[in-house]
Amino acid sequence: MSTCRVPRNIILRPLVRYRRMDPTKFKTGDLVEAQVSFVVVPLKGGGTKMMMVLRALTLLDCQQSMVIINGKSRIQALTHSYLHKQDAQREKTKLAFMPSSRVGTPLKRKVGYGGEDTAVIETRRKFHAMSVDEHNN
Amino acid sequence: MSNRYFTSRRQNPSAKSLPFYHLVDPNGVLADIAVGDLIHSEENDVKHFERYLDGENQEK
Repeated sequence: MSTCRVPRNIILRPLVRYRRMDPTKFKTGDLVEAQVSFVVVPLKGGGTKMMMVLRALTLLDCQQSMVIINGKSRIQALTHSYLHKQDAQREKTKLAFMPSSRVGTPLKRKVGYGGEDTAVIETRRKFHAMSVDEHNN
Repeated sequence: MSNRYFTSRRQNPSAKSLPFYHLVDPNGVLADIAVGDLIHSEENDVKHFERYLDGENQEK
């Protein structure tokens, strides 16, 4: 009797590894980890300027973007079977007006705060109108 | 001034030139630009990784 008992979690836990990747494989919706350096450079006038420099980008999880890609092909398959007997022009028109076709469009996110929600702007305007400044009232 | 590809050699004289990673510059286009004042150094080398679990399919 010589049964060697190794803790199960040690055997079953897969080892996390990292490998270099083609940068074009990053897709919108991916979960990534960015490694940055904070670099301070001297300026001509005597001051300094801090910059954030991207050093590495790691793809952690691409499941979300995979859902988008899979959803797109599924919608295309559905519309194809549904509209099989329709002529090409009608298929084209219908596809454009189908609400579910929006699911297949890639995610677009705005960087920065240029296009703020109208609700935000409206709230800000109302705050201004309240004139909470005690000195004026 | 620098970006994620090049630094000015004039502004950073001590920078050592690095070759571009073959997946970043597969056709050698960026390497052709890195002449004269432009240099690709460690300061502007962005590494791209993917995390995977040992034993997962090797997707290339």
